[in-house]
Amino acid sequence: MTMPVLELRDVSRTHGHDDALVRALDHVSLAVAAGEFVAVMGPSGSGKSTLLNLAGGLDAPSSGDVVVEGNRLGGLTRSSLAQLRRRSIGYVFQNLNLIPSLTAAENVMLPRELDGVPIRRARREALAALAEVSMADLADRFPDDMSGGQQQRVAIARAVVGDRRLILADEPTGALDSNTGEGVLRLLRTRCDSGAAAVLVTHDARHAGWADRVVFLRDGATIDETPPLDVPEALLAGGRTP
Amino acid sequence: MNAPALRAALRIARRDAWRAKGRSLLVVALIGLPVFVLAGADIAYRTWQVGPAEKIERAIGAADIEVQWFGGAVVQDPKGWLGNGGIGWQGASGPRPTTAQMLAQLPAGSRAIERRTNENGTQIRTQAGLKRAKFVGMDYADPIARGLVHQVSGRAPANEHEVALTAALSASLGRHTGDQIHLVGPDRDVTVVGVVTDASHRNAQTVFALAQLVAPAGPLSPADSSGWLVDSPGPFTWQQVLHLNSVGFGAVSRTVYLHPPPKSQVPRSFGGSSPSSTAVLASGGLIAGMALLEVVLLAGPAFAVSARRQRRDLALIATVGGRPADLRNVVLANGVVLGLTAGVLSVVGGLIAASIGIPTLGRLVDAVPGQFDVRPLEMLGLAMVSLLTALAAAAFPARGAARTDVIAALAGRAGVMGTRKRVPVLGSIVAAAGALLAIGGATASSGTVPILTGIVILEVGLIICTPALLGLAARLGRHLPLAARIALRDAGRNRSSAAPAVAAVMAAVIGAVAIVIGVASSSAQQRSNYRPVLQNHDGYLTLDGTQSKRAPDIAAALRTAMPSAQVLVLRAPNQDCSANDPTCTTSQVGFELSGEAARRAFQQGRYQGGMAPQTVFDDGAAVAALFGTPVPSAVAALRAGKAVVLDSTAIHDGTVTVTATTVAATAADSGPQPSHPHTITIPAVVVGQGFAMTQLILPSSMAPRLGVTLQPAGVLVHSSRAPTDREMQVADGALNRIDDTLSLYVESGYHNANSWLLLALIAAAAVIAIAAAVIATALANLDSRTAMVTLAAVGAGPHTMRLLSMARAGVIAGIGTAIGVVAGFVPPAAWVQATRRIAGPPIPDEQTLGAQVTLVVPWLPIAAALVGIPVAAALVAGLFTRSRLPADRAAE
Repeated sequence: MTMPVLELRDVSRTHGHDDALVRALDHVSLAVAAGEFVAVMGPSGSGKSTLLNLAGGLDAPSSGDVVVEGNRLGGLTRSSLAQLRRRSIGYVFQNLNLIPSLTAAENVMLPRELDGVPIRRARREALAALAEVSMADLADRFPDDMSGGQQQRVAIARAVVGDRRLILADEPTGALDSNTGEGVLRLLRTRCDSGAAAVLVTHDARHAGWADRVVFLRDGATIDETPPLDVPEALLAGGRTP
Repeated sequence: MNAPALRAALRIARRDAWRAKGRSLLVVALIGLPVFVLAGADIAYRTWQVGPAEKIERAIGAADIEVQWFGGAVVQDPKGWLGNGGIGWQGASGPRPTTAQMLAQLPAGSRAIERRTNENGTQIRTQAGLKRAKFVGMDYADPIARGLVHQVSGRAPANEHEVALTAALSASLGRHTGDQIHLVGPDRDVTVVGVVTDASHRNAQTVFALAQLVAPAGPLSPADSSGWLVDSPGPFTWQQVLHLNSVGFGAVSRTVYLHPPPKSQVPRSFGGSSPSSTAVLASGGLIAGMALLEVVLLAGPAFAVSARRQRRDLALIATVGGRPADLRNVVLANGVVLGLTAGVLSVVGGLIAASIGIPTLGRLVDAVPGQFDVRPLEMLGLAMVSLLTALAAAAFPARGAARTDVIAALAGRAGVMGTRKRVPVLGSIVAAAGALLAIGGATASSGTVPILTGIVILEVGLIICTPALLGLAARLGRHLPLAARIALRDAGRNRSSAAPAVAAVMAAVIGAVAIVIGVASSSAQQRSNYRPVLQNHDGYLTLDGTQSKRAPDIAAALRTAMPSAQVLVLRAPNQDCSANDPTCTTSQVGFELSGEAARRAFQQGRYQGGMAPQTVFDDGAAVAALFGTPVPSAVAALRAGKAVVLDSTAIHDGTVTVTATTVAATAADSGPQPSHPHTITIPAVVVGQGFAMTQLILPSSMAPRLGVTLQPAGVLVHSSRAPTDREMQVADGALNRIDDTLSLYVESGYHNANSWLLLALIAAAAVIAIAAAVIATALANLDSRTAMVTLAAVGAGPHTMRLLSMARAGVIAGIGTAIGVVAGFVPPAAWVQATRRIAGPPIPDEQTLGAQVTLVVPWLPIAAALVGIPVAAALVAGLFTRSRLPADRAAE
């Protein structure tokens, strides 16, 4: 078996002490291989976002290990964690994903520029990433001049620019209408089919239908793990590769 | 650090600045305004500060050297009387050499013209009375003098019956080319043949004539700057100047002026730059630093709010791999963009303002400006000051940005930046060290540098403590009303914007309190030291040799102007030969004190610079007016041929020893002619109840025994009340018609001349403090729209919004003022220490002039500031707060 792109090994995250102790995540283990699309579902407060924050190194587990492409995040400095996010991990949030003072291309270039890539090359890579999400025409638009769906596409382009292999998407369709949302999920699916690993946090079972696997969380713990649900909308959309 | 990341940060900052135009404009204005003023001032200063070549040409025209006679051994600065060191000489001065004798000391082939200047000037009879003007004797048409004056019309004087007038004098007299005027000094009618302007002073009122018409004041008189302008066959070297010095001449050489000799060749006392110049520079730098610190603190909240509005952007940058340093750089880049914009705009603005303002100003002021002088390096430096100010203002928010809680920011939570425990400890140590340095420096060392450095360190220490103090204050708000509670908690939570605002208030209040205490202490000292020169309400008018001839007219004019006053002409030997009268003599009559009495008298200032002559000759008629009350014992003594003295230390065995020394002012080219002093010892009485306007009253019969001739020396106006404004106007008008240099001094007791300046400074500090609080409040209001919406949703009315805004301003101004009032005691305490150190130990005498300065605290204005500034800030904030509830879009 190939090495997973993301691996959570018995990870817990607690806040507070004693009586005020809150278990945001409780002994969760999860492995996501290259090309795999995993959906995480659960009610509010179940630990979905915490899981995503830990997976991207934005937060550190109270116990257990998070490993991304063989790197144990607990052993990395803040600087190395930032480098890992620039080179291996891409985030997509529900909304306000883009920096309003930067154009679409500049938003996509940002991780590459932060990584010291010369501006011309960064722009070239950004335009290629935008072309993959069919947004090359809007490269010089500012976020305020784009629709929500277009903004999410740009965010996905930024998440994958520079050959990053782990996409962490936190309710990326939450602020979109259903058609636009389906388009975004189709894009994520396509990225996985071409070798990336993706973790999608969602409330919506229809969206989970795009995933290879669904993990259910409640009160911070994994309560179930199932193969994908064959919901009619997903079948009708025909976007999923069986 | 990599260039692409920096470029990205700058790009974000540039676009953000454009998106938030109002905030950007506020910051650019705050930072740019001081630089704008400095840029304009720098250009004006450089323009008026003429270069060495222009300066020497204005001073000596086309000559190679200007030579003056001092006699004795001359020691001079290489730049002579044009330099900082000036000129000094020792030994007796012989008669002024002739031009031929002077030329004998110079290389063969040298040619000279004489320039005689009597700074006391001459008087010109006008229809209205007399007009005094500077009198220069020089053939300015000679090529040697080229460049000293510019002929406006007519020609140069060619004989002793012709003069040229400066344009300002011509306009003042109403006399033009072809008119006749009468010069009182040489006592002759002359024809105006030309109108000129002085190269250096636009408004100079000068009569130019040939040299022989001008009688110099005497070679050792400060009024005399007569000499020769010399054309020498080659460059005149420093060695040649030193040779002239050795034979009693001082010289300013064009060559030496433009190419000064190495310090090793210069006599030690003139060899170095003034040691105080670096201290002055350092003090100026520190004061400018404090002003810029205030600007940094005022602009700080804008950057802090900007950074907080960028929190989500910063968090997004972190999620795509931005390091803390990248987040910091994004906020610092705001400083770079706004600082550079402010720098460029203010320097260009300063340049434009100077190019418009200098020609206008040039027409108004006397000094003639040189070439419009813009120093690119200095302009660049000023633009850099702007950049550094902005960077400093952005530094604190940038530090916070680097510590952004990414998860909280992504979740839309505010995220409170805590203060590490060691920070306030460090701040307290720094503040204490600053206070110690300021007061200790004032006690121990010389100069203001340690004091100012200490004050800057103190301020920095307090600024470091401010966030922790805000955190502490937030905890104390539990029992306060809603608005105050929220305001305190907000200030605690949003320390990055509240702390610089509080610090800005604090710094302004430190300045205001320091000024108030400093001025109060200084005024108290001045009040206790003030020694009136006359009885209160009395007037006195000093007469010179020429004016004394018109004493009856002057007294009559004053009697008419002030009918209720007693007007007396006081008689004394002449003491002033400024009227260009070669027959004039001056006499000094007085007694000498020796040892301790002299030292004390000198330290008490009793023998320095009084208005009236130290000695008056009177037979009893003036006694009542001089003492302000009838003194029969003094009248009786004078009638009995005894002297009256006001100082018991002058009397030995009932007698006083009086010495008279008479000096004749002489014709040109000869030195002063002191006569043998006359000394007599006569019986004397002491009058202790009177007023020390004169030290000694002698019966007139003593004048022949002392070998002096009496003449009206002054006019005393004794009155029981202060003259009215109308009386003063009538008196001034009448005196001006007789001689426009006559001026009546009226004693009106101690007046605090600083009060308006003080009030203006306090008002400026209060405005800065209130502005800081209001700016921060406006930004905080913008920043808390979401909270406002929630408040509105639970039923808060517009009244609550306004109260909240007022409470925010009150909290910021209140905390800042409280810290500032306490810290404001340090600078005046340091000043008092320094003043005491300079003054030396106190003199044990209650009449001592050098009464020690003590710290006087005007509690009322300080208490008023403590209450008034927060209240005023709250009121202003309330005035500018919209009552309208915020729209719900903030909740998106």
